[in-house]
Amino acid sequence: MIVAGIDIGSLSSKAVIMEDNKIRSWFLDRTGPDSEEISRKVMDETLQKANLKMEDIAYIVSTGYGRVVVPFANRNITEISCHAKGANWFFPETRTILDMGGQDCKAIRCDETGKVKNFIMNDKCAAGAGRYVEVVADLLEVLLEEVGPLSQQIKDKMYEIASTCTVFAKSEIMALLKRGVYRNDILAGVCDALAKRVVELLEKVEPQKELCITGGIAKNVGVVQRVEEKIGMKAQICFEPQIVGAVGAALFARERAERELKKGKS
Amino acid sequence: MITAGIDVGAETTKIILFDRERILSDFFIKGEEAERSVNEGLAKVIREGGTSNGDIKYKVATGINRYLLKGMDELITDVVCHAKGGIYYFPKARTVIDIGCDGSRAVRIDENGGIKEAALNEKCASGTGLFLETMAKKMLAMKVEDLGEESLKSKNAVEINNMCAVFAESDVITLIHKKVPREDIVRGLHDSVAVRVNTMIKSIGLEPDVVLTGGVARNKGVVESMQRILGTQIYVPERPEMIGALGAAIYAQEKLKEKE
Repeated sequence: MIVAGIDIGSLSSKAVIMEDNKIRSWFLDRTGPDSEEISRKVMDETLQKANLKMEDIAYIVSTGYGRVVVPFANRNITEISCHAKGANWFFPETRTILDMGGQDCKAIRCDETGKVKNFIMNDKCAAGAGRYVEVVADLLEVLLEEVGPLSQQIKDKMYEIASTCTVFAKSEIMALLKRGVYRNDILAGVCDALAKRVVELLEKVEPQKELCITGGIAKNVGVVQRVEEKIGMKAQICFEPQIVGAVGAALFARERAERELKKGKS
Repeated sequence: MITAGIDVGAETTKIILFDRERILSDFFIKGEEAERSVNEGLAKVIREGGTSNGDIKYKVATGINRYLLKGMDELITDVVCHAKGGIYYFPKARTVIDIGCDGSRAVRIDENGGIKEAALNEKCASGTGLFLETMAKKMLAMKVEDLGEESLKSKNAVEINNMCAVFAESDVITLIHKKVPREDIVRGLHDSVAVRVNTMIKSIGLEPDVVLTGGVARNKGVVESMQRILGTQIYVPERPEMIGALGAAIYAQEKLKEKE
């Protein structure tokens, strides 16, 4: 049976096609201003990669911020449920998920089947999400992918950013650069600040091993390593942490399709 | 009995020279380093006040950068100063709201300007003068002084994130992309400031008369948004940016009277 999951996030959109219990293909792109348009694009690209047509897909579940505007989805399910399900599929020992996205962070507790037991989210403040790192990377003229590695190559010592707010942190960093503070030392402070805020969120759900980190920031070693240190747990990260929600959606799609098949037969 | 009130904010320095009940002279500067601006300012107010440094019996400093100053007799918080400064012009004031460059503060006060309750937003750029200034210059190619008039032309409300300046900026980009008229965007920005301030005030309650201080109070559009969203008349002193320094000078007077 072939199913698909689509995750339309505020910054990036992902699609995954699964056959039986394996990932057949996937695709990821920046969401942009038109959620409906990007949902078609990521679906088409994923179908092409798998050499399939829309008719071959038995069931499609959408999730994420833009889940209701996916016109070809059979059903939409919340991203909290999908992230838990997806993380559990990659790492069956997962009991806590930390999803670090561009505009929000979520901490989820789940049971052994991937069912959500508790969750908390910060979507009110850019300083608690990937946006914070993006703004600083832009200011310091480094690529987002470079932030993590550079933050681990401290020249002098990590510089602790005093401002909580992204906007004020920007002014603070500009002043630091004028004073001659090293760029890597600032990046270390930035990663540390985000890690601290994210761990504060995580502690509210009483995290338990194993911890799975998803979302774009999972690719930032500087933040991940500091989160691990502060929470005292090793993080499990799959080969592409941004597609975990879409994988979860695809798994829900399979369950629904199987259920409908049974109904049809009886 | 001459006292000086010095308010060193994130972007501007204000000084008031005060004697008993009246203002002798004042000083305002933008974009100068804290210590330097205060030295320059004190020299000016002394000269214009027809007095000398030795005649200033008590110097009180406030503002986010007050800790950078040397030679002050006392350092006090912004809320104390805006309370005292607000009630000086409006004796019936019972709530004073200060919207400055780097943050906003609200105080509920008694008839002497004493503080009953206070709420602060000093950690977040949302609803601050810096936010409006950045949006004006970076997004709308406008001068801050022109924002008020522009927003008063608007006939349509647009929604802009009021919790986070970074998300608000994304909203503004989307609105510009959709070719929403500039006056509507500016009004939306002012509304988001008003909503943010309203959220802050909910924790302490609103008691009329309500006075608005700080540089942002010069923006007639913000005042209109606040009156509409807070649902109350808002009083604004003639030079709202000077109220912090005034309050500091008045506090200094009261301190000296106590000692007498």
